[in-house]
Amino acid sequence: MRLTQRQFAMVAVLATFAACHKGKAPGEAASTNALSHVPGTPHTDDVLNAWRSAGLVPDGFASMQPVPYSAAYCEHGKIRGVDTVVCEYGSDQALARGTQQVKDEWARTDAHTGVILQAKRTTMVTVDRERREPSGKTISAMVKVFSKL
Amino acid sequence: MRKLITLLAGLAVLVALSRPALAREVEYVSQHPVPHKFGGGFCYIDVPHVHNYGPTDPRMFRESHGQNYFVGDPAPFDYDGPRYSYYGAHPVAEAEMRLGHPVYCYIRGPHYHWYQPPPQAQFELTGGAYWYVGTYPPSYYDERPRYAVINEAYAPMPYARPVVDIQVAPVAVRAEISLGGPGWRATAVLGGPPAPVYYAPPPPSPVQIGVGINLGGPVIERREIIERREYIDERPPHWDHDHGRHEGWRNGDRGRHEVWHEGPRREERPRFEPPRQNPPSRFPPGRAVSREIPQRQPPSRAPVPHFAPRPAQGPAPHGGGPSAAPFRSQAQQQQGPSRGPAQPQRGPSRGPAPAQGNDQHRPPH
Repeated sequence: MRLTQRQFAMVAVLATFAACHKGKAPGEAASTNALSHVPGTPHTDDVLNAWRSAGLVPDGFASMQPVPYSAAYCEHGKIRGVDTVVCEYGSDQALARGTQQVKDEWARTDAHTGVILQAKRTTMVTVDRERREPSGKTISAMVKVFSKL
Repeated sequence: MRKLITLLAGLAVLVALSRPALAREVEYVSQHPVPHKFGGGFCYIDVPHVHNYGPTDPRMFRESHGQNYFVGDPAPFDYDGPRYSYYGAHPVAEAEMRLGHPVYCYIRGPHYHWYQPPPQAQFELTGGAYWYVGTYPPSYYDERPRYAVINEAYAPMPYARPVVDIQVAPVAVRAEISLGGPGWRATAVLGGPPAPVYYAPPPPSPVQIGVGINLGGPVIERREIIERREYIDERPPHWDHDHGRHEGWRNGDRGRHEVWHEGPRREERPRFEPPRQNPPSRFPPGRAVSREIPQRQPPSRAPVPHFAPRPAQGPAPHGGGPSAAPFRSQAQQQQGPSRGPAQPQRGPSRGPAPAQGNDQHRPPH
């Protein structure tokens, strides 16, 4: 069965359309990711860059799915071995709810040290579960940088 | 039916036991020492945070609505941050800001904190330390018996306190300390146990002894004071603070006496001005004598009634020599009305003073 020239052209157009459609997918995902940040509050990237500038190297930060603590966007990673979560909240109510959830989790997990701090509607949550740093010097340095955002 | 009830009860117990137990989370709103059990040292987090352990020593903390603020001296806890020297009690602005009500540090003598006093606060920086020269509200005096126990917590701790030159102390503070008489030096050097003469009036010279006798003052007491004072003065400097009762510091120092070694120079002691030059009205030979002295008298001394006050012959409350008069007037001006609550305690010479002195200068046990 041989395709006529007209049929071949249609197939080519459809294939091109399909290819174009597929090629858009990554871009869409990226735009979705960008939209998940909350306007009007420091973005997670800003926080990480500020820490980086202060010599606190963020390690392995990645967005969290599903987003915990009633937040709109969260990233989790470590700084000098201390578990850290940076979250952006869409509302004050969500922020209050998320803060309480974080504290409840500390109590459940018997965290040795826990700090939650907010800058506008962005929070940094650090937990030292394994008593890696009883002096809290890393957390203190993180707090100083975060407080200036 | 009975079996069913038993089964249900058993299940209920099982469910209750299987619930995840919530760990103890204690909230701190300042830097603080870490208990030895949890690694020791010092936690430098100076924003609200939680730990799964309680305060090392509650005497060093203020707790308000579950929040703990460390009001002590961080130096003994391997603290390596910034430190500022203070002398004596003072308000803690940072704690007030975080806890929402006035907070006072009741540490006696020289000590450290990690903060400077706020610029608007009434502190004087002199002699290497900050001295609070402002007035205290009644709450300061109300809370003092409760919170002054912090001194007992620090007494046995071996650590280097700041070296403070108390001879250049602000006049207001000097006047306050002078209420206790020559114990001023003992306080500065020790921060601990009072010398027996601590609450005595300024020492009279031999001529002044006569004056004291003539005025009907507690003669025997004065003699004893003089003897004791002489004894203290002839001790080596490193003994100044001890008086044989301050084992905590002495042991902690291991004989080095690095901090407390410098007693004031003996030739410069304006606080030992003779009473005839400065016979403060706050040192009447009143009931204070009957309280204080009998404990320190040898058994052969006269009984207590011997020291009954004779108001008409008090130690020259109107006297005041030219050199001592300014000193007294400063004390009265700066401490009289504003520090009123202190006056009744220290003022009546050796009466209430020993109680406070015991409170403030009791040797550690």
